[in-house]
Amino acid sequence: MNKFLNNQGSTLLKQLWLVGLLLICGALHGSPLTMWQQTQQPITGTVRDAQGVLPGVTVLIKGKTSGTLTDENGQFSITATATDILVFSYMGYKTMEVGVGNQTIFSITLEEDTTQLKEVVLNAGYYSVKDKERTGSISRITAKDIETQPVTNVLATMQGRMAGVSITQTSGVPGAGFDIQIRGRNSLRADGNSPLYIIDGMPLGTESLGNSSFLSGSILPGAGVNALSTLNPADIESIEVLKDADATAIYGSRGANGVVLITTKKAKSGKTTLTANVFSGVGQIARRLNLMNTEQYLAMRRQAFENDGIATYPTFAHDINGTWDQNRYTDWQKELIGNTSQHRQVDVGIQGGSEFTKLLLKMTNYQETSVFHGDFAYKKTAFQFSGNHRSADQKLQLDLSVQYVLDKNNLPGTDLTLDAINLAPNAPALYDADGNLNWENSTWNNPIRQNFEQYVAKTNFLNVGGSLSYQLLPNLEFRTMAGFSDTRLAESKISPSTLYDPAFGLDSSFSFLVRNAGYQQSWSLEPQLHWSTTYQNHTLSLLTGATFQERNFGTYALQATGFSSNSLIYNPSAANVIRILNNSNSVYKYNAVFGRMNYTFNERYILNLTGRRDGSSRFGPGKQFANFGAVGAAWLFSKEALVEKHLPWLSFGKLRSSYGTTGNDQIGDYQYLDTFSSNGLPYQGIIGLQPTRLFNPDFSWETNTKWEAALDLGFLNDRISVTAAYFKNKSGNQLVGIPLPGTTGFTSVQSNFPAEVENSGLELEWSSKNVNRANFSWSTSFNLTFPKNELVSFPDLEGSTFANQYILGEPLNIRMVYQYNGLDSETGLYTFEDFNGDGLIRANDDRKKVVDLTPEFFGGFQNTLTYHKWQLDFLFQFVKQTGPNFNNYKSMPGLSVNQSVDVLNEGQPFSAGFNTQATNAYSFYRNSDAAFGDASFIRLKNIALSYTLPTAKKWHCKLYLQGQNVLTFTNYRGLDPENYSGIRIPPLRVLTLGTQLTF
Amino acid sequence: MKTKQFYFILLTVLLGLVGCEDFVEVEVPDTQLSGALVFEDVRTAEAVLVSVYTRMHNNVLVTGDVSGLSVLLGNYADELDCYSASSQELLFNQNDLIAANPTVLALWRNTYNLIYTANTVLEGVEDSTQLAPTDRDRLIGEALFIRAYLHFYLNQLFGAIPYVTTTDYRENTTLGKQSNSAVFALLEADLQRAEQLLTDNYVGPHRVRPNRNAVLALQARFYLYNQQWELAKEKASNVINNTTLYTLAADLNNVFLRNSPSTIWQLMAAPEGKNTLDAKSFIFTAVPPPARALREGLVSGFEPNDLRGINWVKSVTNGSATFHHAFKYKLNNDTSTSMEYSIQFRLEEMYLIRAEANAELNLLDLSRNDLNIIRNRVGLANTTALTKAELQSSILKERQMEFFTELGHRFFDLKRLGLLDSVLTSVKPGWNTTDALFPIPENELLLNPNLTPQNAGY
Repeated sequence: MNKFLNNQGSTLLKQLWLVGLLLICGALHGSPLTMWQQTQQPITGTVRDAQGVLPGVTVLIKGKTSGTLTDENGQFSITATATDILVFSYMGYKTMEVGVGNQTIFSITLEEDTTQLKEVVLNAGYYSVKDKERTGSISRITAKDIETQPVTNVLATMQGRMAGVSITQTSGVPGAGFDIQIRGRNSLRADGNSPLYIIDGMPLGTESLGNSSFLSGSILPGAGVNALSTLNPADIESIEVLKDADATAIYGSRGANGVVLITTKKAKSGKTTLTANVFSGVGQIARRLNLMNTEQYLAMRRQAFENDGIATYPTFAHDINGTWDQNRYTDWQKELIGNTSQHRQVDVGIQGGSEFTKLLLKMTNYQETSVFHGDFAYKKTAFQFSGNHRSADQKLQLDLSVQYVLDKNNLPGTDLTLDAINLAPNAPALYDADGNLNWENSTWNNPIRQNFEQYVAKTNFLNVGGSLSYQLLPNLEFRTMAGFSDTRLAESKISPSTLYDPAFGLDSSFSFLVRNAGYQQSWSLEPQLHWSTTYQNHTLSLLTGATFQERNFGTYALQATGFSSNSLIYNPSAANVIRILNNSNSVYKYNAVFGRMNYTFNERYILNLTGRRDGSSRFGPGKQFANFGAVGAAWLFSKEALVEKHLPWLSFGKLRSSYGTTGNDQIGDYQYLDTFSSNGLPYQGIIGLQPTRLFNPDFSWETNTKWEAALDLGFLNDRISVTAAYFKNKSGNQLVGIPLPGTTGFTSVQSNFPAEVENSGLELEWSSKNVNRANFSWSTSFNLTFPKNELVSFPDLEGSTFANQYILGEPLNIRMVYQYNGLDSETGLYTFEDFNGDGLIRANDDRKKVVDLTPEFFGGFQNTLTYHKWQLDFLFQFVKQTGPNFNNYKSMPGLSVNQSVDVLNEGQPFSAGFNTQATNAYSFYRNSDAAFGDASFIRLKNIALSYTLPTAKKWHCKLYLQGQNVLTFTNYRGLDPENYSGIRIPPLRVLTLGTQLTF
Repeated sequence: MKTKQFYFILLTVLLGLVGCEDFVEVEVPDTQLSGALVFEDVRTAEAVLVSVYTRMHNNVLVTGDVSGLSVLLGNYADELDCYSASSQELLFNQNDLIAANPTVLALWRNTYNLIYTANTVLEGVEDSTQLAPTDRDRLIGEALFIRAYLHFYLNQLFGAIPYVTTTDYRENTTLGKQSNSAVFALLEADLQRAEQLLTDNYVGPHRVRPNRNAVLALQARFYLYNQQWELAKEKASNVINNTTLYTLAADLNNVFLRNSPSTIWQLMAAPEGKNTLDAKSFIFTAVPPPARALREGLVSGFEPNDLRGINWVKSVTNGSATFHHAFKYKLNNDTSTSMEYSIQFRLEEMYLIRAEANAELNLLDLSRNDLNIIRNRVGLANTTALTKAELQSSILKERQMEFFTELGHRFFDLKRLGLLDSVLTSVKPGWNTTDALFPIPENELLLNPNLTPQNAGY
């Protein structure tokens, strides 16, 4: 048995292998250990490539199950008979076959496989497909792309690298979320557009376990702690994004917004290696606003009061009435959000194995401090295990991967960005001479008080994904994918009485603690049969399977108040009042059958049919089940004799198209039920019950039809590859939270709406190996997407509550605003277009100007250059778009709020808020086209330079320098054109220095 | 090949069977209760009703918190100075509201949400088959009262509004504004029915649930505002004559305690040990005040010897400057048992309503009589007002000194008497005639154009 094992393998590995093999193979199909033959001769040899020896090459005897691997010196030994044929194979190299004959010592040189580009095998979820044979649209990035980026969120690694995939970072706070849209916005519901995420076969529940309204709302955008931020990018081998109907219809009701397949790192066979990777670096906010200094600011304020006809400054105007020092100046952006964050990661992994059993164990520790004033940090510790076993007869295969991640995010209770850009430049010092919080005689709300509101989120995430397959017959395989995931979140936020000005005289009985515990447990089981056959020029493969999935989800939030002392604030038992804010449990069940039929004729004509029937517990009785399906076809025209003859420079040519339907069930659980839930508040000892929602028992699936046509071309032996894809997707039967006026008691009700949204677009991809020499290579890839989004039909739009939100024929992502017409020469106030000519400016009648926020185009441009031992990677991300600028969120100039220096040269006369006409005009201005502007940018998203040290052959050392969001070129008037928010911290610029060691 | 095909077909069929429809059936989650069951049990029906009181106490409309009328209208009229330069409150203080104001939107939405809950109770209890008749009457009576009380304030703040009487969102989505007279008719009808259904009994201790007298008190106020003097007088008298339940507190320091004998209805602070949010909003211990203080004009308006100026106002000084805060509710921190609750109606108002109604009816002696009852108890001599006009202005002054920082009494008085412009223009630089009404929230107008036209001036 030891013959199969790498001699250098560790004892532990051997033992594990032995135990595993005996248990699994022995139990399932008898002993595989019987293939020994007589008349053998010992054979030895060395395998190399152009650069040197190759460890880990698989050496097999053709037609038999015995084999071995080369050791770290590229050497192997095996016993074979003279008639045997040795097969040498190694990833990225052409497989080589050599007859044994009389030779006993071999020297093999493997050739690199230059056509590897088209031999790339893509993971399509239930099946995998060779890149050149696919009929659908699948984009991917691999560990190679991920490794160069010092980021913590998986979605960050994809930014700018995939056509048709638009990703924006909503905040620079660690643990915050990213918005992703794959081929546009399909659903009218803002929260119904996220794709399906699958990690090693296990669907990831992306509903936030956090409590945004009581805990995280003021620091983390959106629904709070983001499920994807817990994943460890360093554990990921590849990310595939399925975009069109052909690739997504097999996911049925969950595929409408695309599917993101995340495959974690798997062990490779070969010598046991230990890899250590360490980096550390610094981060800062990448852009700041150019704000007024004290002199400019006070001049503005004085002018404002003068304009309002107020001669005596009011008592509350501390900045100008002499209460505060008129000469003091603080750069609040620097003070509050200008710290330098420290980033550090240590990543240690060990892996190895034989041809039959491979194991990988890895640990990552990451730490990041914040750019906020104060001590805050984000820590992540991730463990990964991956094991793979194949029986000697190759019939049974077992895969298991486990990720366990612990993360802890300690943040201030509130994002201080708004304070940083709003505070008067002559506002008082944060601390007094004794180092205590300075309240300056109750004349201001010290922004640092919010640091007392410590927000801590701890997440434990376990994901187990595995598959077991067995070759029932040579062309029939039974496979089961199964997985389990468990996420636990514990959040807490304290609000001690020290948060309030001592002048209120509040004691610790006013301090409170809010805690939230969330859990999500899910399992999934997917038995499948795969069958394929080839007859002459015909290849047919069939797949059928079923899915069972159940997800249990719950949150439990409590508020404790009335502490005897602030030092006991983390201990709810020291509180005299405990109130349950929220206690919810829900169950989501999902069941489906699915199938795929793929037919290839003559290696040129490919037809791919997929379908799914699925049911979801999110819908009311009778509405739970629906059918989805797609057809995809491809024609590899470059294999036609005519093309081969007349277009010899065309090395690859494929025309493909697909059409199909998918669905969307992202509407939350139990929306069809009429229920009451507890509000946790006692009144006369009775805990109140509140209506949970307006309900509608009749709603059902949102359907989405997708059509695509694409052309894939390869030139000059595939040194240049080009893809152009055009898609047109229509989503109808929109499941919408119809916005309701307050008179209904609620803000929305879930209902199907016969509105139709069309997303179309053109995606272009280019990749080329510009130079490919021994010591110098240069490759480029480029992607560009022109998206288009249109509301094509909406029955009775005028009579609906959407009348002032959407327009037929326009995109969904529009704002209806006032049209700014310049300043009134007499009053000096802003004026606006009076669309209905009634002499009044009214929201209903005059917000008729349409501002389109859909990007015109976006894309990325990436280059990799290698020279001897040096490698340089850089990626430019670019977006052409319109977005809200700071006029959209800044207060009226003249109020006690600092302003951009731009307002000194433009705009209406300053007002201190006593002139209602000016206030009104400014509020219209904020909601006019003047508050939107060019938010296009070109960003050096990522740059990585590495140098491999010339070391002894037994080990390998690489030094690298990486940067994220390094440079931004933009005309945007505001903090950052990516998240264009005035209250959230912009994405950080991070620079790191690291070392990777492999033994 | 045949065996293979057999295997394949067999397994396909087996897998096909696996997809079973029962798998996706789920139960109602164990933390929620299905709608139909709630109103078949008096305890759960009560739980829905009390959730309204809790929210009124904590954060909606009549709350003592900074989002409630006491603070907002105190600023909007001439009761409070605002010291918080960057707050929403300052916009109220400067009478600088615009249609997009988020506080106004929240006021509107949260109040209608409570009206929805009240309507849920009304419909649920009407349809229920298991509740005892006495429970039904009480629940329906209270829900009608809540509906009327909330609409009353909305009408005062926004003018013509939709009066919502159903839970059907399809109907409520397009509901237009109803004229003042239509709102009055509906309000009056709801209150008449509530008066018949409720009794003098309070549910539980401390008068934290409205009884028939709370309905009478609202009726008295409603008729006064509506200048129906006879009816206002009749309803106020009904409460005043109920001397077994209501008497004026001898000591002014006891008026705002939770067991005060003059309280008709109050909202409880829960759980036990909590006190009012009003106290938390108004009290400060160091100067300059961190958020808000009483206006100098109000504090100097107390006649000498007026015990209210002594017991209900507290001054805080740092030696050089002195500021005042309302000290009606005195406990801003927790106590071992709760001492003070937020009072919605108290007997003093009934006396002053009757005094005003009698004055309007030219029953000047009767009017003086009631006014003097209020004055004498705070250490003041009988009124010197002789004519009807003098009495009217004395009563207005008395109401100002009696009800300052309580639920916007001052603002509503000035408004109903047409005095907003004459009183406020001189003391409030931002005051405009059209500020008498709040703007209908812009967001609501966009969602429901039937709410147009917007109130004048916005």
